[in-house]
Amino acid sequence: MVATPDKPAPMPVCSCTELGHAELKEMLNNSVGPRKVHVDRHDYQPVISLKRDLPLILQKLGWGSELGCTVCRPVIHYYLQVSTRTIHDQEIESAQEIQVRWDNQIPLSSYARDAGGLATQLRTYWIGAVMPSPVSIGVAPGPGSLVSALVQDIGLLASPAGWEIYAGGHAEHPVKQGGLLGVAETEVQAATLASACLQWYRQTAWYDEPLWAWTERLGFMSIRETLLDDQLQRELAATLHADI
Amino acid sequence: MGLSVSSEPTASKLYVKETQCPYCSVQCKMTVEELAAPVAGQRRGEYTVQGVPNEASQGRLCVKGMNAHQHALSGQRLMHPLIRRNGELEPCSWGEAIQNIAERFRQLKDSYGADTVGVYGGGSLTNETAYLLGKFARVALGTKYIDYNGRFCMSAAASAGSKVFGMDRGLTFRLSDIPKAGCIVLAGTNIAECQPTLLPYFNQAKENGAFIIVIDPRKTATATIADLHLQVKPGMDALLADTMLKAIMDAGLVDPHFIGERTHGYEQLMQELADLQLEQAAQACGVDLALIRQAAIAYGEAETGMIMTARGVEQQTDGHMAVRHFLNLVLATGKIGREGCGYGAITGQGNGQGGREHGQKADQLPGYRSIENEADRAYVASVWGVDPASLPGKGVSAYEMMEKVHDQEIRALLVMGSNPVVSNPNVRLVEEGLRKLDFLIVADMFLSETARMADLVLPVTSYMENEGTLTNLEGRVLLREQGRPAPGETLDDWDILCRIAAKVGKAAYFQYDTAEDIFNELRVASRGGVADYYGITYERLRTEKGVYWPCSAPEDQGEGLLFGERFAHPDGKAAFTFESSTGWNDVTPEFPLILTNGRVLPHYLTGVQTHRSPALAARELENFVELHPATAARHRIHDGEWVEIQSVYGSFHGTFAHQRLHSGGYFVRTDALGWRSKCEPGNSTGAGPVLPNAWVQDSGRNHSTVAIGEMIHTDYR
Repeated sequence: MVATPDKPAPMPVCSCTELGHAELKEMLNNSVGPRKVHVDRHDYQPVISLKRDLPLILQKLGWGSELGCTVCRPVIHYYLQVSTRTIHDQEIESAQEIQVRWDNQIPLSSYARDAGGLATQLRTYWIGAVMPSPVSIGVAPGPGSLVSALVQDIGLLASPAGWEIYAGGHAEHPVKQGGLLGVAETEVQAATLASACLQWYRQTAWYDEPLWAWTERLGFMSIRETLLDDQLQRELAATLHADI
Repeated sequence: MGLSVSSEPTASKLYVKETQCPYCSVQCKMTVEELAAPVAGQRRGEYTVQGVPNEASQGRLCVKGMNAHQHALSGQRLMHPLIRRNGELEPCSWGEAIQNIAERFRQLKDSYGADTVGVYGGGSLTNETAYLLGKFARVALGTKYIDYNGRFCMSAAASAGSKVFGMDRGLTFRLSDIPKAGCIVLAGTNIAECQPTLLPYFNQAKENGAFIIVIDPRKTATATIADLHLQVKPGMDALLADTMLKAIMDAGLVDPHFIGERTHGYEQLMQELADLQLEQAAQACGVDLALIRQAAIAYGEAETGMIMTARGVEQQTDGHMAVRHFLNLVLATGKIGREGCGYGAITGQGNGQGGREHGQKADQLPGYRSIENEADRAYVASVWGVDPASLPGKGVSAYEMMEKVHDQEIRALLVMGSNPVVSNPNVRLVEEGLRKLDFLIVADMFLSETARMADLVLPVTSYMENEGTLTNLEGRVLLREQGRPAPGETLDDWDILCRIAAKVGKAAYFQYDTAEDIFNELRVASRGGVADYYGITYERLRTEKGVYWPCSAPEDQGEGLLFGERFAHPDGKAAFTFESSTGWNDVTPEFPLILTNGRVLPHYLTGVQTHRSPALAARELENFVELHPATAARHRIHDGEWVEIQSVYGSFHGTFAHQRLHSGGYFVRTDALGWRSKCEPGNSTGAGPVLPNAWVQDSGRNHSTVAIGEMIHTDYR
């Protein structure tokens, strides 16, 4: 945390601390231990009660206020909830949700798939998932759809090859074009890849970091390499599924 | 979603002291070391892969080699045999699998004869396995039907080399000779993407002042290092070679002394070329005559020079002849048999060279011997301890074998190290044929497209686990040591063959404890043949880090530079080719474009291995189709749009990528040929279905993977 000529001090999370997001996340992990992968959702017990334990945690972190402020509290809640999975969902102040949109118009191309069906499935999978920043998902039945898959946080686009999955797009200021994460032959595979991407984002993004900014910070190729690891992709998707 | 998570404890850390890349024909050496094990749901494993200096790769690695361990360590590896029950593949024991094979083979042989069982190999198998596969077919099964996927690789160059020089070895020179060449012609070979670790040899040649000419319809990565790029119309390579030769003759740049002393057939060749009109020929090639002439003069005037070809020239309907027309240039200018000179066929598969020397081919016995030659049969039979009369005669090539499968003359097929339902031409016929089989066995590391169709799938070891020798593109034999124990119930492919042989009552002929035992028998079986390995031993390979064949005695150094004194024909002379090439004439107004295909840097063959390596799968995701901008404009196709390609054989979809390609062609990726090719017609993204059944009897060796197609603009993205 000490600034050196090569490494400037990180921007503090808020005025309660000098810690930046990376340091805070790491120290929280160290204080409660890394999360386990859950085979099903019933095999863990939250070990921290925010009401009871937060003052002590903040004290250990050298926080400048007893209960944190409106800026840092959601951040701490989020990291405790997502990266260590040790608190009850009900206590969390930082819920940012996923919005899934689709368009089922019949496009001119012959390879139309059921965008509405996939979108409904995805909503069911992801309902209630806590995200670091609001996430917009678009499912498009083909090119030319009103839902432009290339400018969504995650876009699923029907193609002759199946579903193309894009990530890191943004349709508003600043406009960003999403990159192709992968191509899935089936709806199940498409859902798994998109879920894995969301979970990797949950695990590695800073709180309040939009998905497009996260892809730029990690590097798109690095994200692709991680998510196209078949085993890890399934594990990440399963973790998201177990969490919600 | 039906998701599950496994969190098995991690085994002890992987450390492979020295192994060899499983991909291309350079066979780069490397170490693989695990830094951190994968953590379930948290991160991938971390590995360090470092090149180990050896003569060919000099310690270099490309992105494929750097990430090759990923497929070998993939969770998708097959770990136990699978047998089809009630339509589904289920795990079974090795005992059951081998018993099943022996019984089914016996039943089918009783009903239909020994030739009803076919064996289909591959160019990535070790020399030991390739050798044993040939022996297994002839001795254990008694079938004449064995062949391998090398027919769709460099076979045209192999047969051309045999015909012209009397010997087929990939390079007639050493890689270390390349920087000594004054002029280098690279025809239909994209070394920068297919054998990237060789590129520094060419850069070094350039630094030494070499003039580099690339002949390719595509502006490939290799073309970017060229001094001159002849963007030939697809299929016109032989005519281009003729045009260059005529220009060389006209300029008086031939070597009359070499022609007189070391060759025959030049008179006929001169007559054949007498009528060639340069301007017309250049037009047919789609290349400016001035440029062709510039290339011809550069090659003709250079003191030393080399010509290299690869699949671009070889995998055409008339590929065998196209190569021979390039060899005319080599002979006429006397640029072979001395330093800085020669011809090279840049083999594509890891053991494309060794795999074609020891009996995997239908007409061949070990050491490049002929199965139709009585003396060769008698010699090999004596090594194997069988009656020469018991050896079957020659079978048919890989392409024809699939026709025999389709006709149900072959009712059982053992596929080892190949994925024919994707890689063969005319995949519809192949797929139909494989479905008709009574019994299909596939030995593979993964559930490839072909394995998915099998009745029995046998799990084999990967490059890190399977010891054996491989012969690189130069003809240098290299030993790949075992780097780690075989995982799960996987077995070395040669071990599987021995087990089947034992079960069918031929154990006495298949008594080997190690790959080295097989190699020692191969040495004797190849002794005195064209590809003589007798002088090469595992011990020598360990101390000398590779030995060139031919090597007839333990003290023999092996021949790096071939044909210094004489060629391998009985009279010691090389043969000019004066028969004209038929070229490519099947383009019609309805289907005006010619398909060319090739590798992209991160991928190999049909992608069974590279698509399962996350770092490679993450690269070159798009199934692109390259077109000339004018062709694209004519069909109103824009960058990134999906297009449908149609031929008389079928259709597929791809994404258009802008590329400076000759206007008569379009390009697709070889590794994407199988993508979704199993779905309904018209909805495939693999180019496989459009590849035609084009096959020219004359060459006897070659099948075309060139298709004609029409561009159809299907969407508006």
